[in-house]
Amino acid sequence: MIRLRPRLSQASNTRREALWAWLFILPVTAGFLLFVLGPMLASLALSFTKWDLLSPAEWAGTTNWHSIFSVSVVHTPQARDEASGELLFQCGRHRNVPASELADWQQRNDERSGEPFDCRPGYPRDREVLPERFGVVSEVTLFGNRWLLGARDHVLWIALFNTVYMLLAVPIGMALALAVAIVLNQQLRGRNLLRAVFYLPNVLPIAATSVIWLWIFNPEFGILNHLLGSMGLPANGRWLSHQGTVKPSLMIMGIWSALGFQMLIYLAALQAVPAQLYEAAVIDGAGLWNRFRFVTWPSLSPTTFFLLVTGMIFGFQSFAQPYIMTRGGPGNASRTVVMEIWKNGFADLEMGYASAQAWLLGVIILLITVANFRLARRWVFYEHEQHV
Amino acid sequence: MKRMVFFLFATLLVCLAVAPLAAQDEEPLQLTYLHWADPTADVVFQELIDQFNEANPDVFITLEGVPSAGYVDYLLTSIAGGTPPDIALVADGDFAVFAPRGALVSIEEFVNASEVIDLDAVWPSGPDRYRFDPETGAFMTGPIYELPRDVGPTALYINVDLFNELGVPLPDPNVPMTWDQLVETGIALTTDANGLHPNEEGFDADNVETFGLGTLTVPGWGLGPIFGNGGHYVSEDGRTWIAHEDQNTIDAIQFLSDLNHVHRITPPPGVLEGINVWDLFNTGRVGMNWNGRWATTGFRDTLDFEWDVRPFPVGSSGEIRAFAEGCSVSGWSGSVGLAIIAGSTGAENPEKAYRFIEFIYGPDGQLAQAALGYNIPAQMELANTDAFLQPGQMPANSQVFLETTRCQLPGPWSFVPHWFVWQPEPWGRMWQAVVVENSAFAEDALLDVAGDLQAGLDDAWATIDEQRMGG
Amino acid sequence: MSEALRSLAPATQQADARRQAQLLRALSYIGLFTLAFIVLIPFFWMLSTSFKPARGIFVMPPQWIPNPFILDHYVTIWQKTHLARGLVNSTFIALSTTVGEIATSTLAGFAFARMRFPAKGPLFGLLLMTMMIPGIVTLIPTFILFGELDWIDTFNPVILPYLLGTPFALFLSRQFFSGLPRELEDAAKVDGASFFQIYRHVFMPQARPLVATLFVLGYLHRWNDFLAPLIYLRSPEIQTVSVMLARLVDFYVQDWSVLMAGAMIALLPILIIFVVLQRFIIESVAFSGLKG
Repeated sequence: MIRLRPRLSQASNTRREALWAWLFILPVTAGFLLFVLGPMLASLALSFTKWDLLSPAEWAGTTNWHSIFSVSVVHTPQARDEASGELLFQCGRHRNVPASELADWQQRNDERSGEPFDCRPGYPRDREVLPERFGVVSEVTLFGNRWLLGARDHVLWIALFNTVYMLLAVPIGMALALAVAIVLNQQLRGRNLLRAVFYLPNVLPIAATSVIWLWIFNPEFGILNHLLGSMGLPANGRWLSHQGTVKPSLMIMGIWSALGFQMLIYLAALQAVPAQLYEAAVIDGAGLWNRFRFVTWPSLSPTTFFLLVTGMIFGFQSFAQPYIMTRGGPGNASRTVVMEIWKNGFADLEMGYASAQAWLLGVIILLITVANFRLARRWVFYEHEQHV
Repeated sequence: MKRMVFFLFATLLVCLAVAPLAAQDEEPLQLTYLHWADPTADVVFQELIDQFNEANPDVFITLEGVPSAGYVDYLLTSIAGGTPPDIALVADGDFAVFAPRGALVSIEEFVNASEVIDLDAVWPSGPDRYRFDPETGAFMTGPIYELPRDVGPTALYINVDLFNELGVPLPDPNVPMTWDQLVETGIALTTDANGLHPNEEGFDADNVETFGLGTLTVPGWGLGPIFGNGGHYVSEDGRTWIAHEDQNTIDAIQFLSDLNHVHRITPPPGVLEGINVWDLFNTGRVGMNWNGRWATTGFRDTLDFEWDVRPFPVGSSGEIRAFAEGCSVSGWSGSVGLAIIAGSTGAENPEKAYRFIEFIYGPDGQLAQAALGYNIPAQMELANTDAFLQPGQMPANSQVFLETTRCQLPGPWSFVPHWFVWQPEPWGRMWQAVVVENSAFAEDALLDVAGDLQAGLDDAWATIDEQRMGG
Repeated sequence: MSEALRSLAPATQQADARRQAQLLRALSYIGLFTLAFIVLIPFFWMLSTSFKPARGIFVMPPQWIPNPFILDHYVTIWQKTHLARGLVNSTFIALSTTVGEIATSTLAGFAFARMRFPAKGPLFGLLLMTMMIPGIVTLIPTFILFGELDWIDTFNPVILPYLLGTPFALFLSRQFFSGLPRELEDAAKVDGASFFQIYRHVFMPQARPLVATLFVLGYLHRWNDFLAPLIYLRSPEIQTVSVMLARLVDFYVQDWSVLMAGAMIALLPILIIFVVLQRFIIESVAFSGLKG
């Protein structure tokens, strides 16, 4: 009897705790069940249909999913002349230059632009080597061989690549925000004003800030090139209208507008770092770096984890900014997945297909989030170390 | 408390909407008209609606205005959610998406029986772009589904001050320039920091002060020069992509590339891609710029130099494509129209809903809108009066818009379904190679993307035909 | 504590350390102000644009100080939109949803961080997952659901879902509570406090920075929300500021100066909330009961 009592109370304690916990999470769970679960499952079901919004949905089986995953890699050697078997080159805009005439071409200048011809191995047209209705996602050219990654919905895969690429802005922005938050957590003159300044971009409506950034990035009379020029740097950046710079440009804007949000959350978390930890570190003779390394960083790790995970979740769903700024261009260089989903759902009226794309994206985000949680066990330090 | 008030308000609205069904004879039929417009236009339309409601005691129209940014989302969500507006603005670019799917109600019989609407007295390119024949699946023919609220022609805007400053003679307002004249004028208007022109020795292409031509080098605006050279994108029935086989189209694209890479009279192509904010024309650094009539009201507020309009130049082929007989100008025009949405109360009472559309399209509605100045009144006679021409305001040669409205073609999106879904991406690839990078000839690049474009076209038609056969 | 420590250190070392600290302070000042300046450039331009005539936007070189300085755009907004109405509506929506969201999300966040119960992991994962499906594909099913409930053109669709908590706020609360030291509840448990008492009297007082942050972020989110109010709030009487302002930039009328003026007006309430609440974020350290 005496030995059983504590056990019993332990069990009832556990049950009591569970009941309380269920009660605490009831409102949130109810909201989920009432407002979110239904529409989410509906969109999953829709991904197996063809639905144009205007007439009833039709069952389409796995057609949508099949289209998404129609992907193939094709290898192509350098093109050869059919009759003579000579290797073919492309010089400037001129195709099919035979190897025997190459030296001659390389000495000529383009008749229109006046610049010397740039000659490189020629390849058959993409459509001649890819399966029907496939487009090029990416290509690699090495030693006179070309590998094409083609897909039925090549734009989706390009958009996915762009989206992942632009996720790099998340950790970069977080590092910057952490630095700002740490400095602004000190006793500084004008601290409150500075905090408001850094938070400001987060508050401004995207419709307005986009217009401003279009002006900043404008190659001809935007202020960015203007400033670079006045510092003696090259001032001919094409920013949003060049395939190579459009993603970094949008990332700069993204970092700018998210900085205040990340800073705010870091500031709040810095308040929860117990002061005595710093005092203990000082006693141990820890310098600034070591105090950061062994006190601040581990104490902030749950927050860092939170910002990373939510930053990636929201980053994967980026839509408004690139849509307003570039409509996905130039070419497909800044197209994001959600832009594609919107286009398919609301412009092409293929809501079934758009739902499949959205669920593909959802699953990718889920996998990455799960991976984040797994990895977190190695670097996230919870003061309350029961379970992650 | 406040929420309760709004609850009550909403309930009241629902009651108001349901009531007419019960007592149709006494109560006016409640209909909603959905449009996108800025609040200024709201005021004008509300006045029109008040007039209409007064004159038609059996119908009561309520105006619903939403931002253009979310308009399509709003409309589609409402339809899919079973609460469609009764009458809505549907642009010509969306018509080919909505009409074949049975989302719009035909108004053919009402238009034919109308005493107000005389289709001979309106710009024919307006209403014709809202026709669709469910039997054959062809656009621009068959029953009519919408009447245009307006037609928006396009033209060449010129900076008169810059012309005068550089001593360049102004082009003839009534005769379109040829491509050669366009290039010549463009060269005269393009100057570098030392005042040199592109055809002069030592011209510094990296430090250009003024450019001859502006937005011409944005993909969507390729349409004007192509039409102006007699070129086609697609076959007449809209089902076959033919741009790569049409020498006039090939030449027009190559000409656009040459404007920058050979003649050097435009800003580097691609620079102005995206939204046309912070346009070089607005800062006075571009002599000539393509734009629609809709830019006029904004220009009146924002430009601090004298400007005017000229018709689109015509190409070297000597052929142009135009909507009407005996035209000397070409280009494309846009339009938005009013339609009755299927599944709504208005669709059950099409005669009453139609009366409102007719009112907006008729003389009274058009006169009120002319004052807004965005676009051309649909009534030809009205367009030729001071109400539209608005003498004393820029542009001085407003009449340019009259001939262009008569002659300009609807964009291919009016008779090819889902144009903006499948066309921009492959077309943009071609454009990048030819016009922006100059790394391919128009002929080759057009051939490269022809297959993708035909595939997109086939997919788009397949969905339409499926609907037609199935329904 | 640190004073005592310093007095133990040799004098030269002390001077070195002080010089080092001063240098670091100066550097961080410079870095911070430079960054602040860069961050502010777009804002300055918006502010300046909102006070200059439309044609002043396109002057080269850029005109930073408006000349002439005009208030017309603010007047225009006031005349063209029912801004006061919109501000009231937006405030009502943002305030009620944010307060509700904080209450429900911190409660659940506390449970997920500090309590043990079956199916905790999967449940949390499921709630988090709702953030992962892009909203645009659930838009129409959600609209149909609210239509069935007869909620179109009422405040319900833009209030009730948030009242019951958001996964974002839940996740942030859980992370925040997970980071608090364990001694907090141990003492309370020994005293026989109930879980709600622990939440209410032990954890929530510690959570001032969290609550202030959630308030600022939640308020901002609802304030700038565009698509949901656009689609659900149909009568002009219940429209929000964000939708009213979006109407000023139309396909035909692109009056950037008025847009900027609108943005300035819309940002004021949030900025005020931020400036007021950031004091809670920072002062809470003084209330911290964790010393010793």
